[in-house]
This record gives sequence, C-alpha cells and structure tokens, in this order.
Amino acid sequence: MARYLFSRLLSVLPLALGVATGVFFLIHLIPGDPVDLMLGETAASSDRAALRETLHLNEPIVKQYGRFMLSLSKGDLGQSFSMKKPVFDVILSRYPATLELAVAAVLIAILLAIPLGLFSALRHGRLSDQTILLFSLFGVSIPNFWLGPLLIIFFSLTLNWLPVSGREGLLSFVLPALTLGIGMAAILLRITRASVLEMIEKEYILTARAKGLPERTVIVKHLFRNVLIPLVTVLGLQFGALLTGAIITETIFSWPGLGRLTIAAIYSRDYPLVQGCVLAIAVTYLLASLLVDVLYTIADPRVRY
Amino acid sequence: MKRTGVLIGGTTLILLIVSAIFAPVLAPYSPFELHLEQGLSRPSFSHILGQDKLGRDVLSRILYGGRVSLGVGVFVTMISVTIGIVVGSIAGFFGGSIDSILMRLVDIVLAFPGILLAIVMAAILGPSVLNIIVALSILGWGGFARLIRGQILVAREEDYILAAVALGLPPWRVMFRHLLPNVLAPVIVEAAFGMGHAVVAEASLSFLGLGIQPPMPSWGGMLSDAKSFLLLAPHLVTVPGLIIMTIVVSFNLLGDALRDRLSVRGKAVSQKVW
Repeated sequence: MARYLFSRLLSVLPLALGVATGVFFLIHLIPGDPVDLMLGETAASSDRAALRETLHLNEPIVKQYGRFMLSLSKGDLGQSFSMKKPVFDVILSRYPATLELAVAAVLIAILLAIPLGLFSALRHGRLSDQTILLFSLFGVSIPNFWLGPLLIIFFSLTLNWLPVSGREGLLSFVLPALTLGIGMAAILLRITRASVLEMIEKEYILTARAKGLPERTVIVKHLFRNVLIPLVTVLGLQFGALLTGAIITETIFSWPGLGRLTIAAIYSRDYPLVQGCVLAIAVTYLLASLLVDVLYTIADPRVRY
Repeated sequence: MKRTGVLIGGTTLILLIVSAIFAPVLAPYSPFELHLEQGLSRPSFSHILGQDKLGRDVLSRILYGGRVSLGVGVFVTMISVTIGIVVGSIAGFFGGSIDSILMRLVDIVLAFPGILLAIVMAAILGPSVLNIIVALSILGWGGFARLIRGQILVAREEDYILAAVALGLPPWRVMFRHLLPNVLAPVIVEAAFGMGHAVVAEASLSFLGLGIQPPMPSWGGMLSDAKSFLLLAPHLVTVPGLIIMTIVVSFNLLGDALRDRLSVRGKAVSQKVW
C-alpha cells in the first residue's frame, strides 16, 4: 500500500509539471503589459525599465521559464504584482475557504444523493421514483450561475433566512454549498440508483436474503458496500467540475476563496498570481483523484496494491 | 417515458434553434434599442419578458443571444469531436510511442479541472466569439480523444479488422472504412451531452465577464447583469437561466435516448467534459 501510494504520488509529479509548463507559456502570451497596469501608462520610462528589470520581464522567455521552474522546485511561486506579497502566502490564505466550501458541497451531495438514490431504486418504477428522477434531471442541468441567484432571491431576499454573501458562521455556508453541490448530488443520485438496481439482481443478495437476514442488513451491509465503488469513481471524476464550479459560486456569493482570487488575478493581469492559482487548483484536482484511488481500497477490499 | 423524453427534448431544441436562426424576424425590437427611462420594467404587453437595466427588450436579447450561445455550442462540439477523432484514432491505431506521447498530452489537458483552462485562455486571447470557440475546443477534445482511442483499441482486435488487413487493404482504408464507423456510436452520444456542456461553458465564461462582451447579447452576460437587481427585477435573472437549463435538459434527454438507441454500454452518467 505504501509503495503504491508513493508510486501514485510520483505519477502526479510529471502531470503537475506539465500543467505548470502549460500555464507558464499561456500566461506569458497575455497581451497587455503588467508594468503599465502597476505604474499606470503615464509613468516615467526609467521607472518602467527599473521595474521591468526587477521582475525579469525583459529576459528571453526561455530564461524566465527556467527561473520559474527553478523557484517552483523550491516551493517559491514568486511575488504577486497586485498584492505585493509572495504568491504562496496569498494562495495559502485563501485556500482554506475554497477547501471548506468544496467539502461542504461534497457532504451535501452525498447526504442528498445516497438516501434518495437508494429510496428511488427500492421504489423502482413508482411515482416517487419518477419524481426523484425528474428532479435529478433538473439538478444535473441547472447551471450554478443561475441556481445561486435563485437561492439568494428565495432564501435571503424574500424569506430573510440566510445571508446573501460572505463567509461568517455556519449559516453563510448553506447557500454556496447548495449551489455548488446540487449538480454533483444529482449525478451521484443517478449512479446510486442505477447501481442499486444492478446489484439487487445479484446472487449474493439472493443468498443474503435466503439466509434469512433482515432486509435492513441485506441493504446496508451487503448491497450498500458494493454501491460505494461506482460512487467513489464518479465522485473523483466530478471533483474537477466542482473546483471550477467553485470559481463561479465564489463570485456569486463573494466567498473569499481561491476561485475569486483567480478571477481577480486575471483582471489585474497579475501573472505570477494567476499562475499560482491555476497550479493550486490543478494540483488539488490531481491529489483528489489520488485520494479517490485510496478510497477504493476501503470501498472494495479486493483492490489491493 | 423515454419516448416522451426524446420528443420533448428534440422539439424544444428545434424550436430554440429555429427561433435563434430567425431572430431578426421574430424579435419585436432591436436588441440594442435603449429606453433608459423604462429600465428594469417588469413584463408587459409591449415587452413580454420585460426590459433590462438599460430598457432593452429582454425577449429580443434572448433571441439574439441564442444565436451566439447555440452557435458556440455547435462549433465547439464539432471542432472538439474532430480533433478528438483524429488524435484518438492515430493514438489507438498506431500505438507505441506515438500513443504514449499523445495520451500524456491528453492527460495534461484533462488535468486542468473543468473550464479553468478556458478561463485562462479566454483571458489571454481576449474575449471574442472566435476566441471563446478556440478556448473551449482546446479544452474539449481531450475527453473525445481518450474515448475514441479506447474504442479503437478494442475494435482493432476484432476479426473483421483482421479480415480487412488480410485482404490487403491499405491502413487508411482500414481505419476510415472499417474501424471508425464501428466506434462512432459512443462519440455521438457524448457529443449530445457535450453540446449541452458547451452551452453552459460559454455562459459561464460570459457570466464571469470573460466571454461575449456587452453590448452583444449573450445569456451568460444577461445573467451577470441581472445579479445586481435580484430583488428589483427578478424576471431578468429568471428568463436567461430558464432558457439555458431548458437547453441542457433537452440535450441530456437526447443523449440518454441516443445511448439507449445506439445501445452504447451504459456509463450511467456521462463524464462532464467541460
């Protein structure tokens, strides 16, 4: 297991380097001069040249790339132009907010999807099953940049139950996490339902029932563990969508996370910060898929490394 | 249930596409016509869906916005599928180091979660319809390439391919006449889902201000404008969102139906490519 984990961690490395390289070259193709943005277009040309020098912007791009990779290997992501702080520190200060939001969204998705999916499958073909399915279709299809404002209109502006924006206290989590989690909930629900329907035909369920086990035990202990496997897979696949969903959700709810930071960095042409943010999001995604592989071993003891 | 699904999905899509094409005929006003004094007016007889903050007719803007949104969706999907087919079949057919290199490239493209890459690309290239199509296509081809490659790897071992090779057919002929037609079914299914995702992706970019730029009407941009007036003018946020969701629902219904029809082995839900 430890060896497997290590080799998987190693396999993340070239991907992360590929992503870093891709991001670096993309960013440096951005038209528009960061020096103009920082000093204003009217600044004295000597000042501009000096700043250009300190930021190494007049070096050939290959040399800048080498410099970037070298400092990256030391864990240094450079200085943010707009915030005048190390990019690493800026990202670190925003990271927890995004992580909390993502975890809350995943929790909401799981808590909605598993019971409803199970219920729906056990009532296969009935009205309640059809209704849940219809809702899941809308859940998959509703764009989060629409769901967010609708939830705000209803729960914040009309009912006045929940805060419109910000990150203070548990209540402020509810709407952003719902906005972010509904899509995933709908997908997980469909997976749960489909795999319960598939598993319930299997012979080991028949055996369990034939042994005279109570239906409850059959479902929880025998059926459910097997349903977990496809669930974990899809959870991993969907995590990327969740992370970019966070960019939009954070924008809607003024959530002080990595997503809003990314957009702000793009608007201020803060090269190093954009680079850092994209890298942070991509690496999070890669690590999440690693985590999913580890979860497999828990969900399915047959998978041994 | 399935049949009604196709019927509803298909009809809705055709209606929306036709109304987008005939927007200049159908739109009661110009989408750019300002009436500042009537800003944020609620729906009325003269303006069925109301007016936005600058007094522009929402119905007209929705109709014209549909041209952009649907157009982007169609083009992005076509380009992604084409690149995906070319790369995926080269990788799957030739194998070896070509395969390894191409698939590592796909891995890197797919290591950017969701529309993150498109956000950065749109910011770099500058917002224009063409650039959005480019950004979303660059993002979208990876999933299709991986899908095609997997299919080809399986199909390559089939007896009819062996027969074709044994008959002495040239490789390109085996590939285009025998392999590709047999692996396209899942691609068509994914393309249907992909079209819905592409529409949402474009709207997301426009919502973030990195997509279609004002005053050109786009559904994402209309939603972005509307979020400052949630209480004053809830109709502004309701209409474009409802349209986007309707389109995605329709494409999903269509994709589900195609999957059953073409009996593609069921992944229960398509992986979101965008």
